[in-house]
Amino acid sequence: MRAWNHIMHHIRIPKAITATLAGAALSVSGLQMQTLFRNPLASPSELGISAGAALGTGFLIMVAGQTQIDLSQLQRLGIGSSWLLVFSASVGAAFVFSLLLLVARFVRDNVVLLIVGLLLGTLTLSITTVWQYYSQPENLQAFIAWTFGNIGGVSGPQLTILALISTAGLVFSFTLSKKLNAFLLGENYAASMGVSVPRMRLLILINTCLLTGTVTAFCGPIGFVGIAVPHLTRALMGTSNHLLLIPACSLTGSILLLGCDIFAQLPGSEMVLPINIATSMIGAPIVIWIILKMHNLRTSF
Amino acid sequence: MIIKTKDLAIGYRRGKQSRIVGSNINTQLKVGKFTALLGSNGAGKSTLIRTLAGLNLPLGGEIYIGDKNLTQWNRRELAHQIAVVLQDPIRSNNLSVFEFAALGRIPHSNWLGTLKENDNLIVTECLQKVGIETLRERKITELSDGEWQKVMLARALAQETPVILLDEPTAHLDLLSKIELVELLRTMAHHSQKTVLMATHDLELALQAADHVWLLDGMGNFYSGIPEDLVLNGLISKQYAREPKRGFDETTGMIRIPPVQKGKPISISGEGIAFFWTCKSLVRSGYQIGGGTLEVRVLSRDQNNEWEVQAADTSYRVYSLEELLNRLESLV
Repeated sequence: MRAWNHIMHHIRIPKAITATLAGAALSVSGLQMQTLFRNPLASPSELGISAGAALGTGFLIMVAGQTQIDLSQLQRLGIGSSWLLVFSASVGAAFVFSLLLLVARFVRDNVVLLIVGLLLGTLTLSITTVWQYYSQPENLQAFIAWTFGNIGGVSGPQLTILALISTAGLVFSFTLSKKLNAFLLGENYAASMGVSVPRMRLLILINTCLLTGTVTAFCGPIGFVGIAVPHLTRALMGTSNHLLLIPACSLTGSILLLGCDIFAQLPGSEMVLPINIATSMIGAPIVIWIILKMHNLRTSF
Repeated sequence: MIIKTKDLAIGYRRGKQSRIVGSNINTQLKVGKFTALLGSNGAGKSTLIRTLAGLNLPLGGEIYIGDKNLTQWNRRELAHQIAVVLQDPIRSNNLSVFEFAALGRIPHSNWLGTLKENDNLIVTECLQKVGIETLRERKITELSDGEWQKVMLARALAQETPVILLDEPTAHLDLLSKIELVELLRTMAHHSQKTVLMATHDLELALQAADHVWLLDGMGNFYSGIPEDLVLNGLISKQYAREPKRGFDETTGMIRIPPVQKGKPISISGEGIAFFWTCKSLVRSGYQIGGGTLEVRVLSRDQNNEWEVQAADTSYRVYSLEELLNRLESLV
C-alpha cells in the first residue's frame, strides 16, 4: 500500500502535472510564434528556439561539469540551481529568438524565414555539439539523456518553478489575446488599430522564451507539440480568435502530452520510451496530415 | 477631422539611403469629401497612404491630423481617427466575415477584446452598410474578390473613425462591383461626414465620382484639385495620354484606343442608340464617317435592329452590325 502511495504521489502525479504544464506551455508558445511570424510552420522547435534553450542548458551543464557536478545533481540541487537552469535556458532561447526577429525585419518571405530558423537551430546545435565533443563522458551521457526528453524527473521545487512560470506565461499570453488577434491581419493593420508592434514583438519574445526555456530546461527539447497543437486546435475550434485559441491550445497541448506519456509508458509493459520519441511518433503524422490537408499552407494559421 | 500636409516628402528608407517618390506635398483632406488618389504603378500612392496613416515615416515635412502633428499622436488615439484598407495580403483563413469585421472594434474594446452587445450591433450595422450581412458566417477564404473588398471596408467602418484611407480597393473588381464600391465610399463621405481617400487606377471612375483628385505623376510631383480643373490644366492628359488620341481623351473624358486606320469614307444616317453604336463600330473598323459612295441607313427601332446599305446600283438589308461590317468589307 505504501509503495503505491509513494509511486502515485512522488512519481505519477508530478509527472502528470509536468506533462499538463509542459504541453500547454509549448502549445501556446507555438501559437504565439505562428501568429507573430504569420507562419504556419513556426514553433519553438522548428525555428530553433528549443535549440537555443538547449544551448543555454548545455552551457550550464558544461560549466557545472567543470566543477564536477552533473546534470542530475544540478537538477536536484534545489531551488537556486533550478532558477539558474531556467535562466540559462531562457537566455539561450532569447538569443536565437532575437536573431530571428532581426532576420524577420529584412526578410518578408515566410519560407525564407523558416529556412533561416532551421539553419539557426542547426548552428546552435553545432555549438552545443562542440561542447559535447570536449566534455566528460558522464556529462555527455547526462546531456544526451536530457535531449531525449524526460517529463518524469521534475518534482519538488522544480515542479513549483515550472508551475509558476508556465501559469504566469499562459495567463500573460491570454492577456495578449486581443493584440494577437490584431496581428492576424499583419503588422501594418495591427499598428493601424493601435497596437505597438515593436512592444508586442518584445513581449512575445520574452513570454515565448520563458515558457519554452523553462520547459526545455526541465524536460529537455520536446518536439512537435509546439507546431502540431495550434493547428489541431484551430481545426477543432474552427476559429483564429486567440481569446478561444489560447485556453483551447493549452487544453489540447496538455491532453496530447499526457496521451504521449501514456503511449511512452506502453501500458502493460515494463518499457518506457523517451517522451520525445512519443511526441514525434504521434506529432509527425499530425503535421504531415495538416500539410497534406491544407490547400494553401501559407494561409493556415 | 482634417488631414493637412506641409512640405511633405514621402519615400522609402533603406539603411542610410532614402529614395523620395514624392515631395513638396502641400494639401489637405477635407471633411465629408471623397478624394481619389491617382498615379501610375510605383508613383507612391501606397507610400503616401501609409505615411498619412502613420505606418511609414515621412522623409520630410509635416502631417497634421486635426490640429496636432502626426508625431504627437499615440497609436491608440490615432486608431480612433484613421482606419485603413491596405493591399497587404491577409494570411489568416480561419476567420468568419463577422469575426474579421469585428477586429475593427479592437481600438474600442476592453483589454481582453471581448465584444459587447453594442460592438455586435455596430459590426452588424457595418456589414449591412456594405451589403454583406448575409455572408456573416462565411469564412473569408470563401469570398469573391468583390465581397472580400466589402469585408475589408466593413472592418474599417467598424473602427468608427472620421477618416478612412483605402489603397486600391477597386483592384481586381468587376465593373459593377467597382461602381458599387465607389458609390458607397462617396455616399459615406457625403452623408456620414467621413473623410475618404482612395488610391485607384480607375481614371474614368475617379473623375466621375471624386470630389477631389490627388495626382502623383511618378516624377516626384504632386497635384491636387477638383477633377475638372486637373483635366483643364492638362495634368490628367499629361499623365494618362501618351500621344494625341491615345489614352485619356479630354473631349469625352474617356480612355481612347486609336482605331486602325483604313480611311474609307462612308456616309451614314439614322438616329438613337443604334446610330451611335453603328458609328462606333465603323470608326473602330477604320472607316471615315461622311462622304463616299457607300451609304448606310440605320433603320433600327426598339431593339429590332436593321440596316440598309446603299451601294452604287443595289441595296442590301442586314440585321446585325457584324453582318453590316462583313457586307461593307466585300463592297469596298
